[in-house]
Amino acid sequence: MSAERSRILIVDDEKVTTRLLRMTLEQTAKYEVREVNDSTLVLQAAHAFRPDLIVLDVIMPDKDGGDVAAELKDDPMLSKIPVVFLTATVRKSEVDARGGVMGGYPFLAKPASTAAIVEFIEKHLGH
Amino acid sequence: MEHKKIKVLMVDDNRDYFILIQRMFEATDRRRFDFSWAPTYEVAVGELSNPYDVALLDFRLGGYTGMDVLREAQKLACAFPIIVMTGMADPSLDQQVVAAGAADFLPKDEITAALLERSIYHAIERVKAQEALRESELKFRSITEAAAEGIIAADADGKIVSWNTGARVMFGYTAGEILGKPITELIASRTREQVRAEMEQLLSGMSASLVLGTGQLMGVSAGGSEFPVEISISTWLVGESRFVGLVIRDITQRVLAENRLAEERNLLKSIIDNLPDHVYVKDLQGRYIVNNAAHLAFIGATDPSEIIGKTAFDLYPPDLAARTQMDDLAVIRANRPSLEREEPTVDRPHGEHVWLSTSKIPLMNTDSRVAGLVCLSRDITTRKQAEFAREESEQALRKAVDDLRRSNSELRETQMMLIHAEKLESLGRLSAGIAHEVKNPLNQLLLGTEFLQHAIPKEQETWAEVLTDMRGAIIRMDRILRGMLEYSVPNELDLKAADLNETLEGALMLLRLELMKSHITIEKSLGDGLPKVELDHTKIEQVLINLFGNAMHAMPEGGKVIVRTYSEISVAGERDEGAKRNERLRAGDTIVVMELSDSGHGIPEEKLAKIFDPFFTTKPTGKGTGLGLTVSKKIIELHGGTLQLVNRPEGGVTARIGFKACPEDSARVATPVDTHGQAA
Repeated sequence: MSAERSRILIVDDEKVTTRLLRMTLEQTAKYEVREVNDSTLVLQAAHAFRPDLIVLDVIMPDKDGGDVAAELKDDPMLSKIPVVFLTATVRKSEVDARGGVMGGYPFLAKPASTAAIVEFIEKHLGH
Repeated sequence: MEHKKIKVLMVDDNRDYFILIQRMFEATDRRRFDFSWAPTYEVAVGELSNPYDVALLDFRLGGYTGMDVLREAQKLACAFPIIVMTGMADPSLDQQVVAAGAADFLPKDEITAALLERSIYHAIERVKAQEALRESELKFRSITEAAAEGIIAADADGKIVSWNTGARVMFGYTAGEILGKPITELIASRTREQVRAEMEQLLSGMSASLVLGTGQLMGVSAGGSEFPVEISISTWLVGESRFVGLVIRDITQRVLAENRLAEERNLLKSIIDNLPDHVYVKDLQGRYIVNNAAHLAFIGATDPSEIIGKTAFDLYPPDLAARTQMDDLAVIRANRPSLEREEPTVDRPHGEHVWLSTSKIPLMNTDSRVAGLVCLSRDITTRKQAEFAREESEQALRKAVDDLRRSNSELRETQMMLIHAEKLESLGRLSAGIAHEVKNPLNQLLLGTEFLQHAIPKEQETWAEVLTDMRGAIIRMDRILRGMLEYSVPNELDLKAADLNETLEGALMLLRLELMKSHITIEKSLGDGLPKVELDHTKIEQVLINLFGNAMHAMPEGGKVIVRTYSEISVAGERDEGAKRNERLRAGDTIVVMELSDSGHGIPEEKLAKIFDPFFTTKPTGKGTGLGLTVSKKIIELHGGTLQLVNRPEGGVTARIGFKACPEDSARVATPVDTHGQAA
């Protein structure tokens, strides 16, 4: 594990969710976390923050998680950044049945415990 | 007569002769004579009406003769005989007085007491005989006159010589009109010749008597009207003369009666012959004595003579004839009619089976004794066939109604199931909607609680406990939500042909640690070479985990779960509340069964019906979501299988899952192979 903390960008329209997730992840002292609550600002935030991994919610007003993931993929500067979904729209059993991957993206179903989220992020950070 | 004196009237104008005769009788001591004397014609005529036994009349009587007295006696119809005596020997007188009615003629000079006495006796006897004859004639005459028949005598030439009142009334002639006329005038001209011929035969002595007339012979009256007669003819001889006697009877009434009878008979015959029903009469021996046309036709006869005298045994097969005879005897013995008895029989000429409705009525003779049977039979084959057809269609209808009723009740049952299932589905959908909405805040609660768990100072143990409890509550809520969501899974299955035993092993692998911790042993008795079943491995694993979980909860102190798998041929469509009809197992399907039997506390009977309802649980609060069985059943049903839970007689519950075997594998039937006590 690198001494440097991994940079995680969390996208969710609910402020409470992003804040709690940030606090929880920061509590582990492994991550530096940025929150985005407006899905239209994800690309801008990613360019600025340069995250090691982006956690997306699926259902958001204005632009949903899928669209955001596609834009990220299309952006040459950002396309290499791993994107994962943390969402209430899927069920654990669905995700499990597909080996945790749906539409090419890793998924984690809400609610997820801190440990599960950490494990999930660690798995997809790419180191 | 011996003791009674003979009263004698002596008519003689000579008193001396009277005394002489009187003395002559006294001398001979013949005292039985009592003499009276009439000296004159006048006295004599006056005495003629008195009751003398005999008169002795002198021919010469003053200015009169014996002839005058005789004439007067005849006129007065004198009842006693008169003997004439005369002094003159004149032979011609003899004949004269006898012709005039004298009983005897005696010359006076020849008279002796003996002669006179004999003459008196003879005269008296002759009168007596004549009277008897007259009486007899009177008797016969009155009989003849009283007879209603016409009694007629004719001479040898056929001329009528006598004629009674009956004849007069019958023919309307008076005796004066008809006497001397030919007898044939009384016969209508067209039958006259016959009578004449018969009479000639009779007169020629060929026969003594004969009877003519059989309703053909017609008499004709003075008025010219004709009427049927019957004539008895006899003949007799009087000296050389032959006479013919005819007794003629007017038989109009008899002929009318006979005609009426014949008409009635014809009417009856034509009625019974024209009846469509068979009418026949049998005697006590069962022999046919009367048959109408319909019965003849039924028997196949053209003439009654073909049947008369025969019995049922001559016409029908023995069993049928015997039955007929028994029926006949029953009616005869009971002397009570048997009415409209329906019986199968055979139509003789065609050999077809027909149905008859037969009535048998005892036939009584004039002594009110049963003399036979009057039978009436009607062919009711058509009606009978219609009845049978109706009965059949009624049965069919009844069956159809039963079927309809049954399917209606099944339908209603299914409807109830569907409503129930629908209720569950909507509840499931509602729950899923809520679950999704709750998941985000739940996620926040979980993250927040975990954050706090890490953030609080180590010494705050009470805080940590509270947070642990809160986290537990969140995990429980999550479990409930997940159950609800599983229940609302869209009907998607990832079906693959699989060995149920392998799926079981997979589930047991996942449950290994938990089973061990709960001190549960697994006893397996698995079918070798089970037919494969189409199943979604993950979902069935989930069901098994669920069922084992229930078993573990039912045995908190540990215990044993017996697992059996086998295949069998379904004997009846297994019924399962909430199951979709078309996915249910049917009789004849090969099914693969897995049974999990625990030795726990069982399920209270009253709760068995509710165990598959969502949120229904028998477990203590916090131990179950109330969705495990609901979801399990849903999954099994999606597979077209069945899930049943029953209490075991020895305690505990058996959960039975049945799947339809893959078609290509359904020929295989596997029986369990025991592999006891295998620890999970």
